[in-house]
Amino acid sequence: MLKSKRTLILSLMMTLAFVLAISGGVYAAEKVMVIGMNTSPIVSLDPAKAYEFEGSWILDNVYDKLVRFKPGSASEIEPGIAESWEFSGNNITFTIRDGAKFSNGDPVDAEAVAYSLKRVVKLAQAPSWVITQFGVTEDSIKAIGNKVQIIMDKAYSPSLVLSCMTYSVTGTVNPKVAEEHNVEGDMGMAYLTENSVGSGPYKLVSWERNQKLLFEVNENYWGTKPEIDKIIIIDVPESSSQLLQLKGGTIDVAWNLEHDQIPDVEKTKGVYTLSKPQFKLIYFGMNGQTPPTDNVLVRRAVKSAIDVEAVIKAVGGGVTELHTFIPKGMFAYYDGEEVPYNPEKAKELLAEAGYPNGFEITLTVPDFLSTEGTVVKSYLEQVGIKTNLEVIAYTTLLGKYREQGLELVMARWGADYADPDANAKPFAHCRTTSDEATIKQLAWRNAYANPEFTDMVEKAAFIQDRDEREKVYLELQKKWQSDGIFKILYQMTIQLGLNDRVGNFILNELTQTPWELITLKD
Amino acid sequence: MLKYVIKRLILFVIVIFGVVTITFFISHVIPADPVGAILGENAPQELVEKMERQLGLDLPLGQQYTRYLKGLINWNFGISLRTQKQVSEDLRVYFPATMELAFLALFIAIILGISIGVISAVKRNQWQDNASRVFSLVGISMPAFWLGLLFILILYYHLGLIPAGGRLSPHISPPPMVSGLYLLDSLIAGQFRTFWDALYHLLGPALVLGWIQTAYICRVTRSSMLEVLNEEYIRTARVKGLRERVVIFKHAFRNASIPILTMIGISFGYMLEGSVLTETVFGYPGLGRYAVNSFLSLDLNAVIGSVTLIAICYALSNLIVDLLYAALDPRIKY
Repeated sequence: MLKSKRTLILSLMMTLAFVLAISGGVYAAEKVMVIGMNTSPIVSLDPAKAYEFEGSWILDNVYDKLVRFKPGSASEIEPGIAESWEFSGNNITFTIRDGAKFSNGDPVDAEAVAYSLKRVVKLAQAPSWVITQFGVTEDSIKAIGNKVQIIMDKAYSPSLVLSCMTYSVTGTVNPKVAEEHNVEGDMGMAYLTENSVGSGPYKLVSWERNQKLLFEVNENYWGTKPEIDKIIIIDVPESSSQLLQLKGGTIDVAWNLEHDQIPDVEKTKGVYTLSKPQFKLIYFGMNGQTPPTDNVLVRRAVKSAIDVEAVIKAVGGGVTELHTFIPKGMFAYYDGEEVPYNPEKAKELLAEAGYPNGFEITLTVPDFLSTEGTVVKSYLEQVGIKTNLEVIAYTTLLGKYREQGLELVMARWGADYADPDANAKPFAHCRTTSDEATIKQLAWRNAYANPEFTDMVEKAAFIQDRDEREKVYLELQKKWQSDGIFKILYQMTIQLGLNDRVGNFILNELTQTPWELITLKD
Repeated sequence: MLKYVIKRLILFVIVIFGVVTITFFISHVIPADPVGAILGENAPQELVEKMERQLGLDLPLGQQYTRYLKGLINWNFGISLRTQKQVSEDLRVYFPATMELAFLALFIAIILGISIGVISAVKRNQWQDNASRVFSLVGISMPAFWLGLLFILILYYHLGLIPAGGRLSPHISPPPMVSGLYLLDSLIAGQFRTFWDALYHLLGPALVLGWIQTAYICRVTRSSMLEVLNEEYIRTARVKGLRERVVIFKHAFRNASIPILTMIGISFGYMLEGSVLTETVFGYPGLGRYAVNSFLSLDLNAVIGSVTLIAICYALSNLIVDLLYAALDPRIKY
């Protein structure tokens, strides 16, 4: 009896110690914000390599770029590490601000900025094309005093060039640290994958993959002093678990919520939702080389047969209607619809093209677009097009797609920078469908070469006058909708869940958030 | 005995070679684009082709295979496309996390499974037996990811008894790495707060994994015990006037333990398999989650590395169980 009593007391004491140990004073007086996110897509946090959406979102706050967008905007440029800039023909010269320092106290100067840009060109990783598309080489980037001069191969539109300079790939790294960790000529890439020495408002303290990323304020930051001392991103792969942790108060921000979880957040006290249309879209494409979709009449018929409103309804909302490759919120967006839903017209066009009884074709969609695929299939079949729906893993689809091997396809696309050129090139630029093509993007993957569209895309990239440039893009979009091989299904929207204590969490259409402006109540 | 062990070790090597070969060819012949999967849909074609050349993916399959085998002899699985590190280095981080989880879950499953199974057999067709059968049925029928979500909903959200996920609380740093097992490493470093926090975070996933295997062990224990309890030597033991506890645990349980041991060995293998879903639901950074991420991103080297390691554990656990038979039953000789 005595023994069992002693055991009971001991057990109670151990339980108490356990509870006390895990619930003790947590963050002391520090302000800490915890974000729940599926961090598995993040491959690297080196600005020269990171090409994932989550990685870029982080890097925008760790490394200073030459220029950046004003908070919440994806069109108005403001100074970054460059306080001013000047275009002259095919040259652009940035004046680097005085007094900026890296998180370790080293000064940020023109040499550091030039080194970082040259590093991007030399390492030639996935996002490097954002810079090299302007014909920029290592030799064409120079540091002259407190200025950085970049010589391009042609005189591109300033708004296009500046948009590209807001991308995280242009982040300035500390040359000293990068060279100290140089392994076999990687310019510190292996080191900077999981470490940071930038001059942005925050610094990366640690990254335990599949667990958490810890950021602390960079005390040397030249801009607005952040209110939050630490930002912790914890890996929560499941959206349902994110929702429960948001409601339970473990996390302050739930990053990967599904649309059907939003009503639950809205009716829960103490949390709120934030949504913003993104420069990302879901599109439907047809092969431009193989019959019958090589015939423009058939393509118009197919586009007339699809009711995008029904597609949006089927996915349950939370997305924005869009009919063109330039998303809403971006310069030169065209709000018309040249080939609207009209099944009768579709049947007429099919008959005119020589297919009065329709035809049989395969539509390939990735698994995450199976609902959209089913809806499109049903609408195509209503006008007599027998559609074999092939739902496959996205990675498998990409393999077939890059070999120009799909008849009809459905996939997603996100603009890398906030200029119409970012989407005009993939969707409309293709002079030849052979391996000789200079840009092997979406039009090429669908084997559709249209010299007229290609000329317009190339021309628009060099127009210096904004109004004139807009005119070309508007005209291109009309023709593209009417004759081209694509139909846009919708524009995607990001939806976050936030705790009431989080304020001023700003998002723009490129999913950029200035962390230094976020407020946090105790 | 030694001859048997050597024979089994040779078979072990053949099994692992087979697993590596099959995994290699399956992962390389599927019509997918591993480089494109890592670089994303926006990546320029030239870059995809350049990276394929760098990784040797443009070589004939046979050549890729021999190259891979050469590396494997030195425990070199190549570089993970996703983490940009040696796969063996990644496995060194993620494998201990899963081992920690699997051992705790196995501990729970053995204690609960055997106890409930024995009670169930002894109290056959009484309420204890019926309750244990319902408990087993739920454990066996419920998918791990669903059970995990239910645990998070009830035990985390409504009752606040377990954390929602992860391996440590956001504000706690991992202990200095010695073994990779946080429980052990935190004790070595004298970080007791970290120890408790790690244990606290293991509770949810270990209970889920443990419940499922408890159900299997419980059912095998019950049926095995029932069979033994009907034997004549049990009746003799009772007639001799031995206490019921001695009859059940010394005479019945020991003789019923061979199938239970087999089940425990199999359970360990299932735990590694079950960890794939459980770790994803709980955001637990172990081998299962690493494997899932590798599969989803077609990180081929990481896929083969994870599968090989799981296969080694599976084969080893079976070998250990076979060797333990002899220790438990003197009639078994190798």
